[in-house]
Amino acid sequence: MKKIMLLFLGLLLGLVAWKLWDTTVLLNKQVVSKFEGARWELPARIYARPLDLYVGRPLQVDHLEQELKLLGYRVAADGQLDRAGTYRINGNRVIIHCRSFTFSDGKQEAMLIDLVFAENQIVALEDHNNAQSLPFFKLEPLHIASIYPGDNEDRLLLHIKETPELLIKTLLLVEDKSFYHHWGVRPLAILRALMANLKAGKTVQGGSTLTQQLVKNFFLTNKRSLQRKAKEAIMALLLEYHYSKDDILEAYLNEIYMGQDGKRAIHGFAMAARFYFGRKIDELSAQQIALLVGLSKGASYYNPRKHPQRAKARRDRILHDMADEGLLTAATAEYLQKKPLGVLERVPSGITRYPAFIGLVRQQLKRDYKDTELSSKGLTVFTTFDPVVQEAAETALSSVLSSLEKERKMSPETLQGAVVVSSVDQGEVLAVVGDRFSRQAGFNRALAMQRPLGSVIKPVVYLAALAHPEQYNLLTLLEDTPLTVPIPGTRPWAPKNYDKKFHGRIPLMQALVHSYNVATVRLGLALGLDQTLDTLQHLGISKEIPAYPSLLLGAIELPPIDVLQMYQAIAAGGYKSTLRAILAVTNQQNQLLQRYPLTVEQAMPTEAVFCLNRALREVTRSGTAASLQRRLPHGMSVAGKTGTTDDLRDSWFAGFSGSHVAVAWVGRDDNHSTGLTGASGALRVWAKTMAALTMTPLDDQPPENVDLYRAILEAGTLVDNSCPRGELLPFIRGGVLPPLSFCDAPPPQQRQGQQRRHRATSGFEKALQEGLNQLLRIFQ
Amino acid sequence: MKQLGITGLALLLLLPAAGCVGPRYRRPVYRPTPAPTPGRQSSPRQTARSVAPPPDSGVSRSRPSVQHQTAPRPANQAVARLSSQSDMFAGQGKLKKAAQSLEQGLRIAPKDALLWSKLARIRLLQHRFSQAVALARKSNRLARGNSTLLQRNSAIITQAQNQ
Repeated sequence: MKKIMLLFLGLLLGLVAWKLWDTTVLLNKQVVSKFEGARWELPARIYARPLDLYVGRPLQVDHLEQELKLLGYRVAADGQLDRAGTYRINGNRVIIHCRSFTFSDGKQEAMLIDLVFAENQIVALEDHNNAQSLPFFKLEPLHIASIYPGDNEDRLLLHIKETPELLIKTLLLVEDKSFYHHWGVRPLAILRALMANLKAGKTVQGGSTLTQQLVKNFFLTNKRSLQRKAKEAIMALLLEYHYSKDDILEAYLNEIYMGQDGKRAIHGFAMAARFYFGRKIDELSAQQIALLVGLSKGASYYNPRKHPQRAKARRDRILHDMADEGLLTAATAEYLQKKPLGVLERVPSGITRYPAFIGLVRQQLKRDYKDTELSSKGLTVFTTFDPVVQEAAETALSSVLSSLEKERKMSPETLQGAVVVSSVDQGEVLAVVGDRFSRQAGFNRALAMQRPLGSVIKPVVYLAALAHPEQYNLLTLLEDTPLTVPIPGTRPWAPKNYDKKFHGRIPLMQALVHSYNVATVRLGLALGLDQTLDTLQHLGISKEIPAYPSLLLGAIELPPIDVLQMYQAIAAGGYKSTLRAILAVTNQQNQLLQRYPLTVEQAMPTEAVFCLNRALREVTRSGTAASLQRRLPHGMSVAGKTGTTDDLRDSWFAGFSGSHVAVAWVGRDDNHSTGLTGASGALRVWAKTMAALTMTPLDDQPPENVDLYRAILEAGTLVDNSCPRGELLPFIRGGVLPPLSFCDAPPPQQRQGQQRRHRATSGFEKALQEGLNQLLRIFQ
Repeated sequence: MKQLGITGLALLLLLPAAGCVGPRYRRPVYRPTPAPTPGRQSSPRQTARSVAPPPDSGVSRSRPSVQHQTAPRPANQAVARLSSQSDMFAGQGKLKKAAQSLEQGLRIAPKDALLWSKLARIRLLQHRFSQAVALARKSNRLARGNSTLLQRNSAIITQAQNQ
């Protein structure tokens, strides 16, 4: 009987041992596989352009300070700049202790730089420590968004070597004094805690080691059960068996839950330092370290924003313990205990402030990366985003729309709008605003909206003509007289001008400057619709567009970003650069994965574009956009075109200076009439955006093959250079030239005999007739 | 006959005046000559407006202070440094880095024909021939008649097109 009992006991023990072994093997597999692989899904972090600093850069001291504040830099206390992330402004002199940052082309170490400003320009840039002048310095870029994993955990990976010693010592002091000596569990501590808890009838003491806490967070659920506790102990032992203490501590520093921001969960000390103090981990002061270490016990319970008293009591207790342990002097601890929590009032949101721009970044990233890669691989994305330009565009849109609604007695929030801005020569997208309430991540009008262009398309028609210098120049006479275009199967189309008048025979340039519809349709038909369509395609519009004559007046629908691409090519003298929002992507190890280089393509002959731009410049001086003269800084030359669609539903303005191209749209989401023309709506948004930027004027230098002649615009003739009248207009060498007139020739209306007009335009009329016939053939 | 002669003489004498008092429009007999464009001979780095603006244009009315604000003097030191940095990278065969330095320079001085030309050269070395051609042409567009640069670009275009 005894033998049977022993056998049974043996079997039972064997079974338990086998089960234990089996469980341990299973757990071991879990521990190893998770710890060996990617431990966390790390969000992609998206950065703005860095602010380039160099002698000669136009920059105002307060704009620099604004950027520093956005980056979370602080005014150095008592003028001491011993910590990175601080600055001091002394009149026209600024000293910055710049943080280190790893760019796509390498790491820039933290350093003190010294800047001197004069007349809103940097006039000196030096390394503060050795007074050596620096030719060029990049300030760290602003973090503008992250792409989070499915579990919405946000963390910044922290390596143990980068962790301040005081943080590690304080953490171990509070959470696990014997961390470097135990094997993962402390049976005695567990027993002691068990006794204390039994005595109190509730949990008052925890016996978990740091390793067990990590296991609980990393592998297990929050369920309290004996089985889970056993698993936790086994896994802690396994973890300690396989990995070094530093490895485990590093994992803990990154895994621990430190707070919540809506859906976003804040994990790890590095992210917590940003979340609560806007600082990098190595910039934390002792009382901030104490607060963060205190949070690891219960981030919700000790939430310093919700329960500041609790959080302060815990922090002060830890400061006291730190002094006891010799990490601080008693006097310092006492001094620090009197300090307020110093937590940022405004939570640095995980939700981007710039959803419209990020929309474009994601659209471009999608071509090369899968969603899962973006939300888990810890990629760093460097973009072309310029917070200063964005701010200007956002403010312009929201303020102008509000003013328009007041002036025109519309109910508030009737109007909507979009603004996009890029650099001229590189096509780098600097700002995207897709909603008047720019923080809203709703419908992104800048990218997704399809609206008819109206006259914003006209430069394309005129460019198509000017690309044939043997036939057309800026003074080629066009007919702005009644026209009926037969359209088989439907009523004939009779385009009208906005002012309901016809303007007779006018030079090509004037037809564009005043945006005459009929003259434009006649020109487009004479050229053939395919010419306009081809030009559109060359300028970067890939969308399939049907060849209807109404296309010539902008009856095609495109989003503002596509219009920006068209105008970028025009602004850059016909050299199209595909719009880019991303410059480079690096991986978690800061290795370059991909660069998105500057590309240039000659979309249209530069000579024709130069002539077109002369006319577009005139639009802003004496044409439909003449009001820009009083809306922009005096002397700032720009070029552009207004656009208005049927029933005043869409108001557009697209244009450029020597450095920036921008497109603005104003309309209503319900597509009702706004009562606004391009000039009374979008132009104001455009002007207010551009006026806030540091721009260069248009480049007046003609290409090699273009000559400037003195011309009388209203007569459509050239005059001698010595003539005090007229102005210089560009003409392509070898192309057809306008007729000549004497300097003192009378205004054209006195000599416009019917017969002469007929003769002068007979060639053009013939081409128009051919165009109409061709059109009829297409439709038949 | 005498009367006819007198009338003819009178007509001849009156003819020049006819331009002033008679019908004022008539076809001129001279050939038009283009206005001079002095900027074409200047250095590629020069950013001053080179074409005399028409007297009634907005440009001529511009105040110097605004010009100063809006058209800063070129940041030569930074551009020169980035340009030489690019040369150094190119010399080491680090073409991507060389291009990156040039792109950086172009953000500071987007109208610098020399930088565009150097970028064209890098693209040629990277065997991106159509880019090399487009960039060299863009450089030509900004070269303002700088013959050395024009020659250099033309060599790049020829080499790229021969590939």
